[in-house]
Amino acid sequence: MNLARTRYLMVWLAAGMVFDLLLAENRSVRVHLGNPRELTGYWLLGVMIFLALFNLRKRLPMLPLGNAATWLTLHAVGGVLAAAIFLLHSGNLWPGGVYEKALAVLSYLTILSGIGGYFIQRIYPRLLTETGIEVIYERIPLRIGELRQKAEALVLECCDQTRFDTLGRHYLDSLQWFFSRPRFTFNHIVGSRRSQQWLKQQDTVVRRYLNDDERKYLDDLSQLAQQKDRIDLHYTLQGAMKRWLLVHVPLTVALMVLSFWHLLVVNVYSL
Amino acid sequence: MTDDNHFDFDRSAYERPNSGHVCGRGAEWGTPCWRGPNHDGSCGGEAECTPYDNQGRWECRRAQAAGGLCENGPGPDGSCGCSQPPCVPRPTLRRRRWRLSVIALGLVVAALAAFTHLSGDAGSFAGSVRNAALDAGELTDGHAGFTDAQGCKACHSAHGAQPMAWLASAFGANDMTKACLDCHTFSGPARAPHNEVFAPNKRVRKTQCAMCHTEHKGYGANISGLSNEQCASCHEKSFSSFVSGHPKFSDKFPHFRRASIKFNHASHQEKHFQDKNVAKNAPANCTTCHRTEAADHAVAPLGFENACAKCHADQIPKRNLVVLRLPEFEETNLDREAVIEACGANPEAEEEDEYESISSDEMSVIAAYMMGKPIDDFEAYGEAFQELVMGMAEDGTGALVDMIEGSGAAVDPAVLLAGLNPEAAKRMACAWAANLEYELPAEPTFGGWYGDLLELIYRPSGHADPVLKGWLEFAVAAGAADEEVLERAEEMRAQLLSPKKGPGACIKCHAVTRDVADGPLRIEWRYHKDKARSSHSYSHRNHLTMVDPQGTKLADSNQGCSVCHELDLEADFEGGYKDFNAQTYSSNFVSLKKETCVRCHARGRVRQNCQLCHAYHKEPAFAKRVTRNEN
Repeated sequence: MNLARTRYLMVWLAAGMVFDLLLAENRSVRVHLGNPRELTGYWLLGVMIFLALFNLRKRLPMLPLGNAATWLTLHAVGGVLAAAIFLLHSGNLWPGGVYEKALAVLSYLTILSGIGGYFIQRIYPRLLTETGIEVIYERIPLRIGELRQKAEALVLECCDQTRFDTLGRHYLDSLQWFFSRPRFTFNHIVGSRRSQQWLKQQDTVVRRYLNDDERKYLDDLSQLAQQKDRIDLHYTLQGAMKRWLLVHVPLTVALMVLSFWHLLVVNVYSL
Repeated sequence: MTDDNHFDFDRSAYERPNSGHVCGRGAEWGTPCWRGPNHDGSCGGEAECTPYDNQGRWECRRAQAAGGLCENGPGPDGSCGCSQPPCVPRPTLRRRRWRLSVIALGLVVAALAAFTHLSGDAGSFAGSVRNAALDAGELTDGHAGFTDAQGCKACHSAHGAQPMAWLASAFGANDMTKACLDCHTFSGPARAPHNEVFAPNKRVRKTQCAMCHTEHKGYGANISGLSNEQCASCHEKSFSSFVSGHPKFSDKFPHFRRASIKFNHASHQEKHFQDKNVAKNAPANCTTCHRTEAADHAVAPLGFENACAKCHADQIPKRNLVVLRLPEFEETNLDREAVIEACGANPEAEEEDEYESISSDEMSVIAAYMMGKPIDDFEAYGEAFQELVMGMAEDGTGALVDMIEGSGAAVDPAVLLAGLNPEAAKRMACAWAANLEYELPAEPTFGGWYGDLLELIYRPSGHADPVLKGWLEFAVAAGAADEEVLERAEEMRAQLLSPKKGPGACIKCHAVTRDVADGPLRIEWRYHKDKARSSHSYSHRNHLTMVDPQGTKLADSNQGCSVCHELDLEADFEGGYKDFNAQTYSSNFVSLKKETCVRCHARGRVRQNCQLCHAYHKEPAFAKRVTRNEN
């Protein structure tokens, strides 16, 4: 068993024990006519604050606060624990009050976006490794620009050397669109091979009209297109790995604000 | 393929992950400039380098990654020779995430601020929007209708307070129970368990309504349910179920108090109903007299008219109430002329040389008490009684009213003398003033007031006669600090409240009870619903659909009741009514045993949770009107 799995197992066990203890205490408080929602509410708040600290941890990499992988594990398992405590606290899936409904909606969306993000973080890196290349996300525009320049230079050279413009016109008709920016984003997201089919189709369509010299240029161009396709995949998957936080983090912020409002209202009105 | 080469210092631009912007050209999939945006978000790539002034000679400083020294070189003024139009840098994902987070925070705060600053009644749109920011959910049907006028403030004192006071209340304890007690009342202390007074004990803690009743769970929610474990958490003796561990029922259960109507089931069943003379009137079974189909905790009898009148109705008019009786006088103090003036000349009256009283009786106990005179002392009562007779001779009932009021009676004379014809009273008094017996013109047939020879009597017209009830209430309330007067009151009470000889035979059936030691007596006119058992809930009606394990239908008129209720022929039922204490009593039914209930309420049969039979609160009631009078 590798370190990551051991770590996950340990954290899951710890979370299970915490939840088990909380269940027992919740039952004990309820049986003794106490207010179990007070107990679960403060527990939930504590877990939520701990989950939010993950973002802070990422901003303070210089501090010895444990490695990011451990934090991610704690964050993922803690998120599941928070969802369980939320259900225990609310007692049902759909509360009665208007702002409490908003709180529930925010909770569900945050949980769902977190689950989505977790799977993105678990699945996409493997797919990226399978491409055989490593690209820094911020440099992808530069890399695409370079590939586009190379492709255009190759096409111009082909026209210049062979005196035929078939490949040039083909590039202008189809491949220019492909090299202009990342393409087939949705297909990459869902793991479709449509981009490969499209590239193969473009190659097949034009190859029969080219002579041997032009075909050498077409081979080089196809290689560039393959590189571009893999970079597109990187752009899409790395983008997804970053962009899901555009949903998760703002939802978390809104959820935290509304949770503190809930805490205030509960203390003003009932506790 | 990796882009390792691009990490070399002279082949790649320096990445700034914490920068808030990226090159606008790169964002539009052109070729990004290597210098990137400035810190303030402006384009930093308008010039490809910042030329260096080397002893008056400007030198190009374009990086290797960007192509090294440029062909044009710096201008004479030190400007870069390779300039391009500026781009519009775009925010990075991190910056966009930050902005979205701030927007989310702002939206929530703004929405809460806007909602909470709206004003208006709870019923208005603005008010309902404001409450949306505070609303914890719909109230139960029992409470939903009572918060309309005050809204949230009906229960939450902090609602609508000034912002600082509102915030301050978050740090203090909220006494929700106080708000509950504005409407709800109990016969014991509201904050004590079961509303009972317990001996000081550390384990007995104060209770709050919200410990068991939590609101905002929806219109049809049940907020009064308790689990068996919750009940057991306070009780010292805990047990797992009714079958195993529940204490035995007390020896008297469920007959802790005698009934208000002294009906001896045993003697009626075994003796009276067997009598051939009354057998035709005897009830067929229990349900002839008890209405079981509407019964809940108690199975009230049908009432006198339906259950008792056939045998007992004609006994009531036979027992007259003697209010006044002309006593024996030693001498007369009456002014003969005044009598003639009040009554006219009576041809039957004879002038006597020596007075000889027509009566040799004692006066009535009622008159003795009201006059405050001893019943057998001529000298003491003679003048006073003759004054009463003279007063009645002059104005009928007025002197009687004065006497009743003078006695400090707790009952209105209008009730006590209702139906007494002043003319009849006058005629009777005139006869007495003339030292004659008053002769009725005809034999009395109906109930009402009659003057009969030497007595003013009241004949009860039937059950629940209001005049007779008034006189019995008068007797019950009679009392005085003076020992002698008290003695006469006791004598009057003993006569009027006698079960065997008392007027109307009322006390033959109606119990006279003193609820607390040294407290007042009261006649239990109505069927008494036993309050001492209010913490036990039992529905006869619900059991009528059941069949006991032996197959007997509980709704069976002949056998159903006896499944649980068995007559105790040995019990001293009558003895329980000899004093005024309702607790010292023997029911003529055998007390119920736990085993009777366990036959059905057991695991695998009928449920046996605590709240099925036990109610938590003691006599819950409302302090306010539960319906509004809009007028």
